[in-house]
This record gives sequence, C-alpha cells and structure tokens, in this order.
Amino acid sequence: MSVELKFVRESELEAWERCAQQYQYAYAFIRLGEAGEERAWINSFGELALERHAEHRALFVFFSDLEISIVTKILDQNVRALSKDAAALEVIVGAWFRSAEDKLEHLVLGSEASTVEVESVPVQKSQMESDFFNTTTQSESVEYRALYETTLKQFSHALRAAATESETVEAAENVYACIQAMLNVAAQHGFLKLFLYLQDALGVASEALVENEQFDYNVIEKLRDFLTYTKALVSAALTEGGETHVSLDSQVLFSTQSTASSAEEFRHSSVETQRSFEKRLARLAGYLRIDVQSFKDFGKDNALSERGDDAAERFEATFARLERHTNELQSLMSDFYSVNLNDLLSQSANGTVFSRATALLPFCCEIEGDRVCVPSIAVQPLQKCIDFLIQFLNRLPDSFNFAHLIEEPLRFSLRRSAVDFSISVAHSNGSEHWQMFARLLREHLKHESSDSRLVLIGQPSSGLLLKFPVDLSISQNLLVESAGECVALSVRTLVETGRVDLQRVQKIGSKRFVPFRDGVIPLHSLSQALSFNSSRKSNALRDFAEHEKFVSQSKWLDFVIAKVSNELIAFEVDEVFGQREMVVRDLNKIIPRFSGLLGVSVLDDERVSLVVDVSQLLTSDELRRGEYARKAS
Amino acid sequence: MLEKLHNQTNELKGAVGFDECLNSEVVQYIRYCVGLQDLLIRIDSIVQVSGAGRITTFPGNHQYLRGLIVTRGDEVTPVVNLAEILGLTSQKTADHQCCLVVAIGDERFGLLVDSVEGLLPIEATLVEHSHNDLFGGGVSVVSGVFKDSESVFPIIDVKAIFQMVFSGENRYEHTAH
Repeated sequence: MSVELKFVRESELEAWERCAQQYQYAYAFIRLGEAGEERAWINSFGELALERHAEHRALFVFFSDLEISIVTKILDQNVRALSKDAAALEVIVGAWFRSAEDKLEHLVLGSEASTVEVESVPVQKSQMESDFFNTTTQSESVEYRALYETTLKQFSHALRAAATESETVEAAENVYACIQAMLNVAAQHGFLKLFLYLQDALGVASEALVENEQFDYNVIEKLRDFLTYTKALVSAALTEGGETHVSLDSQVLFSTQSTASSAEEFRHSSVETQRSFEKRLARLAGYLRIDVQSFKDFGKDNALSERGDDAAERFEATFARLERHTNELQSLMSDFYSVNLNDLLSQSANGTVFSRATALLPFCCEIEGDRVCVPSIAVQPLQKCIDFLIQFLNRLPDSFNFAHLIEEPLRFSLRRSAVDFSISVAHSNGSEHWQMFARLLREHLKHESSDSRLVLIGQPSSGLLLKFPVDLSISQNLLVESAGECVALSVRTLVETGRVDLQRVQKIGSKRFVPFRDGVIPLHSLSQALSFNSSRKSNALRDFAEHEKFVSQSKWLDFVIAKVSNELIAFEVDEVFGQREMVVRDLNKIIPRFSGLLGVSVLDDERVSLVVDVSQLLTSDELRRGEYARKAS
Repeated sequence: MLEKLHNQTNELKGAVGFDECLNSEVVQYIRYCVGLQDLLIRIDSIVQVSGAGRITTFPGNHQYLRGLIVTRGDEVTPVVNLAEILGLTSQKTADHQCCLVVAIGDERFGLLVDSVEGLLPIEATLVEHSHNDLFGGGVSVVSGVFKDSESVFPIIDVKAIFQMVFSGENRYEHTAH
C-alpha cells in the first residue's frame, strides 16, 4: 500500500494520467486512500489535480473520503466533462453516495434525537450515533447537510446535461438510473427544490430514451413510483406537525416551529411541481400516441393482421403493449388531475340550487365516482361551466326532465385555448323536446355570455358543444417572424424546423415543396395562412413592400414542419428565433376569433405576439388544394 | 404634445372639476385629425391617449380592425382604423399616428388617428344632431356636428363604432374544424 502511494506521490502526474485512462485502477487507488491514514494528503492531492488536470479531475470524486467542500468544488467545475461520460457518472454517483449517505443518515438520526431530547423523552442512542454526536455539533450537522444538498445539486446539473446530450441508448439508460437514484435520495431527505429539479431531469432523460427509439416502457412504472413520491411528499409537507423532514435549501420547513409563510412557500412549490409534471406527462403521452399511430399505420400498410405469421404476432403483441402503456399513462394523468366535483359543486351552488346541481353529477362523471378528470388549468373554466349550467337548470320549468334528455355524460376535453363540454342527443327522445332544450340553452347562453365568454358550437341535431376559453396559461412556443410580425407557434404540433436553399424548393403548378428526409413535403406560407398580406393596408403597405424586397433577396428559406392530420406540412417563415416559455393570454372577448389563434402574449419589448397552432390554420380543403380561398378572398 | 394633453386632461378632471363641467352643460371634447378632417370625441369616453407604437397585425380579413397594441403595460387592446371607417386617407404612417383608447362599459379599444390637437369645450346646445350620413356610404358613426365660424367638426359616436367593428356576429368563431 505504502509503495503504491509513494509511487503516486513521486510521479503524480504520470500516475494520474494512467489512473484517468483506467477507471479500475483509479478505483483501486481510491480504495487505498479510503484506508484512512493519508486523508490530509488525499485532500491536497485532490486540489493539486484540480489545478493541473482539468480534463480528468472529475475522477477525483472517486475520493469519497475527500472533504465534501472539495467534492463540491470539483463537481462545480466539471459538470460539462461529467455529462459526456455517463458511465463514469454512474460510478461516481454510486461511490459517492455510499460514503456520503452513511454520514447523512447519522445526521438525520441526530436531528431527530436532539428534537426528542428537547421534549425530555429519553432516547436510546446507538453506539454509532453517540460517537457521531461526540464529535459533531448540531451546527456542523446543518452545515454538512447544506453541503450535501449543494453537492447533490451539482450532480443534478451534470445529470440533466448528460440526459440532454446522451446520444446512445446505453448513455441515456445510465443517466436515467442515476437520476432515479438521486430522486430517491432527495425524496428520502426532503430536499424539495432538488427533488423538483430532478423530476425535470428525469423527464428529460425519459425523452432522451424515447428519442433514441429504445423507449423503455417500464418508464411508465417508474413514473408511477415517482408520482407516488411526489404525492407522498406533498401530502406529508401539507400535514402540520414536525414529523416530516421536508426542507427547502437545507432548512427544515415542517417542524413544530414551521411558520405560515414557509408552509405557503412549500404549497407554491408543490403547485409548480404539479404543473411541471403535468407538462412532462403530456409530452410523454404525446410520444406514446405517436408510437401507437405509427404502429397502426405500419400494420395497415403491410397488412400484417391478415398474414397470421410470427411477424404478425409480434406486431400484435407490441401494439398491445403500446396501447396498454398509453392507457396506463392516461390513467396516471387522470389520477393526477382529478378534482372532486362535489367540492366544486358545493362552491358553486348554494341552498336550493344545489339540489339541481347534484342532478348534474351523473353527467359529469367520466371516471370513478364523483371525481372528474380535468387538468388543473381547466378547473376555473369547469367552475364557470358548472355555474352556468346550474343557472340554466334553474330556469328550466320543473316539468322539464333534463336527465332523460341526455344520452351520454357531459364530456370534457381540453385544448390549449379552451375546455370543451359536449352534450350529445339521446336518440330515443323526441327531437322536438331536444330542440326546445337547445333553444333554451342558446337563449340562456346569449343572455349570460357577455360575462362568462362561453361559446356554443354545433347543431341541435348533433348535440351541443360548449367552449370555455382558458384565461391564462403558460406554454412552450417557437418564436418566429413572418411578414414582419413576431408569431409564437405552439410546439405541440411542430415536428422540426429547417432551412433550405431556395433553389432546392420545387414548384409544381402553384404549389411548392421542400425536400425533407427522403422525400418532399408541401410548403405553405405562414403569412398567407394568417392572411397577413391582405390585412395589411395603407400605412403598413410600405413596410410590407420593404419586407418583401428583403425576403426576395434572401438565398435561404426558413420553415417549420407541423403535423397536420397525420401529414407533414412545412410553413415558410422569415426567421426562427427559438423556443420560449410564454404566458399566453386569452383574447380580449371583443376581439374576433380566428381559427388556429390560441391567444396572445406580450413580448419583452411590449409588442403583442400572436400565439398560433399551425395545425389548425388550414382546413382540410385547403390542405388538399393548397389554397387560401377562405381567408384570402 | 401628448404629455401636455394628458396633463390638461387630468387638470381638467381634477382641479377644475370635470363633473361640474358636465352639469353646466359645457362638454369637453378632444379635437383630433384624421387625414385633412378635424373631428371631435367626448372626453369622458377616452381612457388613454398614446402613440400608436408597434401595432401587431391581426390575422384574417377584418375591414376595420388594424391590429393589437399593448396599453398600460400589459393590456392587449384592439385598434380600429378610423380613417378606414370614415373613408378618409390618413396623412401619416403608423409610427407617427396616435391612438385614442376608448371604453364602452368594460370593453376597451383604440382609435387610430393622425394627430390630437387639444381640448375643445362646447356648450351642449351648440351641437347639432342627426348628421348620421355625413361621410356617405350609409356609415352612421357621427352622433352630431359642431360648427364654428371657420369649420365643421363631426363628433364621432364611439358606441356606433363599437357596434360596427365588434358586432355580435364577429365575436366568436362559429365553426369548428
């Protein structure tokens, strides 16, 4: 042992180079260091390597016996290096945890013990705990805890970066495993902010797995575990009392001395968690749906179901698995979003109104009992809907049998801009009765809509659709410029952005096509789809002419690709600025509606940006004909 | 000039006593120009006077709706091209135009005008009504006319403009794709 140490000390540079190239050897070397006698030397050696060997100093994390402050420093400076080597990262995380965890375990036990002592209850400490408290004061333990959390944060940064940059399935899986281990630690010790951050990192890692086309569908199960963690954590934190160890930045929030403000802060954080998780789940569900769809298409194209051979069987099995996982994810989302309709009703209704309101319950229940599946953002519109319907029901004559009129439950669906509630007709009932109901509903809507901004769409013969615009939402959008206007495109239906040499744009008649992968896809003009050309008048004409001149001089064409009705369509834009998270406001109620316009957002320079879902810009006819007759005429 | 106008407006509303002016049947109007035409609008319907700034074009074909602007920091307000409604030709580019933000109940929208000239107190009895078709073409957005020795000032009816541009049929999308 001493010989090897001496060797390293004498020719430390060469030795270190070799260590760096051979993890196994480095690991053995560290084990020697852990033997304990040379701790001071290891620390100084670590610092020396930190200065001299930038490319390999990440490996010094192997020195699990290093002072935690040094580890933090190393991690801080090596996040990028670490993120490129997922395998090393996994080993590092594992090795470091084993050491640090033991120490923290004592600290947590120590904190509990000291609390109990305050309450004058005798505690039987283990020998190990006693040893620890003989040498560590409470302030030191808090300091260590803070350092531990900081270090974990550094790991998290590295892991998140690694998740983003992972290019192979193995790397993505490694990172995923590391993040999960970290999540466990964060949940166990109640590092809430870290927990939230890791949750995001886990989402990124999941997406990396999907993007590598080797999506481990067990990720759904992992997500379920994670959801359980989140819920447990949130519910524990919201329970008053000092039994939990939920903390923000190393400060225990929920102890016997917890304050209202800290509780409020935590509640806020948990809401943020929920929103973030909501987004992540929605994206995963989107991926899965795409998978299911592509499988369906594949099966259809190759007539697999008719062949009856092994390939067909495998296909069926995979397809079934995909569907099952999609359903699981959907149920997961339902579980997370569900709100208690009874609570909502009791808030909405009072006294005599409530009896009518309860009549609504059977029509609102899409899922179990009195719980209805609705995203958190839609709770307010749902409340409005219920208020509206209660008022409407109260106006109906007592003899009017609402229950017998509706065949199916009132159904909810959320779009970006609105929550839809559809009522379908009971075919067994007379259309006369239904038309009367529809007329009354329309009249009521007309009367009420000045405040509630409801929109009634559809014909009495096919049912009714009530549309409740969402007032405010936050969404990820791609900011582009078109005809001199800044337009935010909802990323939900966007597939890709691209740039092509203008000479490669093909023209067939009046239609244009851009090359994409192995084929070509139709190209539409975003400014035409939004009718910017024709709407610009008088004063703006000059600016527009200048803009056109500028565009005509350009040699490149920027475009975004969207999936519209399972077809890829390219939209020509002038410039792509990049993705941005934006607060989307509902349109002022006097502003006319435009198909595809989700809302508006105010940019930093106080300009208004339109938030658009390009998939809704073109009708099926326009898609077929490639024309804009409806909007441009 | 706009700041001066703001100050004048506030002074009038506060120190001089805006309500008293109304009671004494002297109504304050804001005088402004669209093209070569001088026009008036009742000051009590004005919420804000500002430069037109950067107007975001609204998609679709709306004859009079020029676009959207941000007022008071975070309110998104539709802007109506008054010149288009009156069949006049604007003499200024959008960058140099002014916006009169008016309110009808809780609803607000902007009127795009060329310039704001100042305040004009007019006794109510001097306003002549029923000049609805002053600008021809069946456009009925003028509630009355004030004449002095030199010129004629049509008074714009904000409610009529609101009805014309933001009528019920246009308010919501009635077809679902």
